[in-house]
Amino acid sequence: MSVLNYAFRRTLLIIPMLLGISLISFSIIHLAPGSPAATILGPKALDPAALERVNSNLGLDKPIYLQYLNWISSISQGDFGVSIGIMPGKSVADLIKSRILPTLELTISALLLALLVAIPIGVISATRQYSTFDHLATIGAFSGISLPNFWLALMLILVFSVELGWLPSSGLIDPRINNPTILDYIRHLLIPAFVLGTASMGGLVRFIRASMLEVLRQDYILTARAKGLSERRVLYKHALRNALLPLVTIIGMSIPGLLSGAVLVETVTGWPGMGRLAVNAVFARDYPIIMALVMIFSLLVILGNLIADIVYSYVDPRIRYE
Amino acid sequence: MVYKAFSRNKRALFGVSVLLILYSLAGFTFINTQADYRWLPNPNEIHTGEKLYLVQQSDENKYAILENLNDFPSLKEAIKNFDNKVPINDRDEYKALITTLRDMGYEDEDPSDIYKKVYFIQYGRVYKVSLISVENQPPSLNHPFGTDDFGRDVFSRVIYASRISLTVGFIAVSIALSIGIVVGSISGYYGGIMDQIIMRIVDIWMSIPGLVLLIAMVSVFGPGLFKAMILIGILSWASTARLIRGQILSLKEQGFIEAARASGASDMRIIFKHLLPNAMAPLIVDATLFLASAILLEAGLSFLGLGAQPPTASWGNMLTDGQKYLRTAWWIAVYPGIAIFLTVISFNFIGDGLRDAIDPRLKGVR
Repeated sequence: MSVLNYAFRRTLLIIPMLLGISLISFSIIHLAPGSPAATILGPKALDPAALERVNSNLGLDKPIYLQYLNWISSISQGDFGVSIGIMPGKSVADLIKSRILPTLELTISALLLALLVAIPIGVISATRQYSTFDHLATIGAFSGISLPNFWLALMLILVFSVELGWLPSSGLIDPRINNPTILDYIRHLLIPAFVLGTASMGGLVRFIRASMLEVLRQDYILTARAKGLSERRVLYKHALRNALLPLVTIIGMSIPGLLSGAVLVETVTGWPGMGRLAVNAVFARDYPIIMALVMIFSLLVILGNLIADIVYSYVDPRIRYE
Repeated sequence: MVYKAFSRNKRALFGVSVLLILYSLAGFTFINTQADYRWLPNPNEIHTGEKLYLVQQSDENKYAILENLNDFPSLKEAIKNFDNKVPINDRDEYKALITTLRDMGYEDEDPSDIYKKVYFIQYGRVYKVSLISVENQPPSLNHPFGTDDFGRDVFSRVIYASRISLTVGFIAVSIALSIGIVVGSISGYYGGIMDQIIMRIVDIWMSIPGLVLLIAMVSVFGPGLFKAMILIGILSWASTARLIRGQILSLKEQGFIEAARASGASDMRIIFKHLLPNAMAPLIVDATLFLASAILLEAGLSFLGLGAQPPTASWGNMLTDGQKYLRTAWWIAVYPGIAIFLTVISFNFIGDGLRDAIDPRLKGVR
């Protein structure tokens, strides 16, 4: 089976998953106390005629399965309805559109940063098992997993923005600068991306270390050593490549955690992404935005896993024949 | 043997010791119950025999008399004897004071807000001294972690709040495990179409980022500590279900299950008496690690203002204040975070230690 064929099959599997998520997301708004019509009307909701008008405008007088089908058909066309709390009447899709890119930029840089730090540490840790470095790396990895990211963000802001004044404390760019340079942008990204990356960093160090130890026990490493290859060549040419293969899957699995983390990190650092919008929407009880965000966040997770699976099936052909 | 392996793990022992200390401190909270309402005005401006009134600043330089402090003897004593560090330790009297204030039109306000507006008046003269005169004090001998924006002792509040974080985990974990065990057992034991459906639901559930789903649910049910605990539990069953299913799948083909079935044991009996006890070890590890993440989730939720509500102290909502005063009073933000970190890393160390002890083959494998 070719990679393309596999990719196609995997992509088809997305559809039932998205339907399932849409059902969960749809149920959330219908669990909500108070009708959406009353929320939109506010004090005017006491007028039954007005309530009825809004209800029929929103299609809320139809049976629930029809409402669901209508909602599904409109979101499949990119129409997520209108905001009822943050900016009443404004299209949810428009509100979210500008938020997607900042969240993606933040999570992807966090992931890259995590890999950049975790791979060398994990490998050195494994090759020098039980050394002081290994112990320190393990404690460091556990710290990364256990640190509340929003608190770490506060501490870094305290040190690097408040005390030292090296980095900006919040936002995407400096509003006072007319032509923000790429450097200015990176300076704003540093704290949020590092903070968001720490949990993944810890997990990845643990994983790479374990995977490397596992590979080093394999017969082909023994063979490589028996051939008289230099230790360097054995480690970095034979062992590392095999140890890093399953990393693709682990990266895919870490996406939900990264996006969850982004909600908090964006809120603390004033990063204008979807996570911060979600928190604002919760306070404004803006259900259409919340529903749309649940869908988009989940879609990102599913797409991330899909890409990871396809890449994995490409780098490791054994997987395609399962 | 498991115990021996575990007790040799230094990290796990560190975790156990930290948690023992934290839990015993949390247990002795009678020491700290005053933390929420320790009133500490400036002692130099209050003289014995003077008439003290509690007043409220309504406008710029306009004050309304709320209550004669003589009606609150221990409060008055506390203010007079500030040098001797007498805190107000009568909860009933505090409640009476708050009730009085509420009767005067403050029912919708957070009682802790009142602290900020209350001033003292002596012989009709308003003193600049107020209950907030010792707000945001840096760490000192009296207040090892400093005081917060209401002049409350941060150390006491950190200890007080530990009760929340240390309880939340257990409640959330018991809920998640109960659901996960039932669903996972059904899925693994009966297999077939049921298993297919349940596993697809698990897949779907696990592709929604946890915190996003959690705040979506909070938007429906409203914020609150109790709701947060239950929601964290309800939303986290999926990974446990998957774990239990895997365990049961690998166990159910073994000889002793065959034997139980042959001797006429019911499905229920096989699941609860034979299968689950054998799946216990990985379940305990899973639960310990989940405890750690549940504490982090609650802290995050409270930090966003969606979990424990002020004036209840929780590590998460203390950090919300911490963020507000980061530039002027760093200590408010520093210590609750350290507490969260120590608790979570302790549970993680213990979970990891248990895993290594129970299954040495997995040593170092995540």
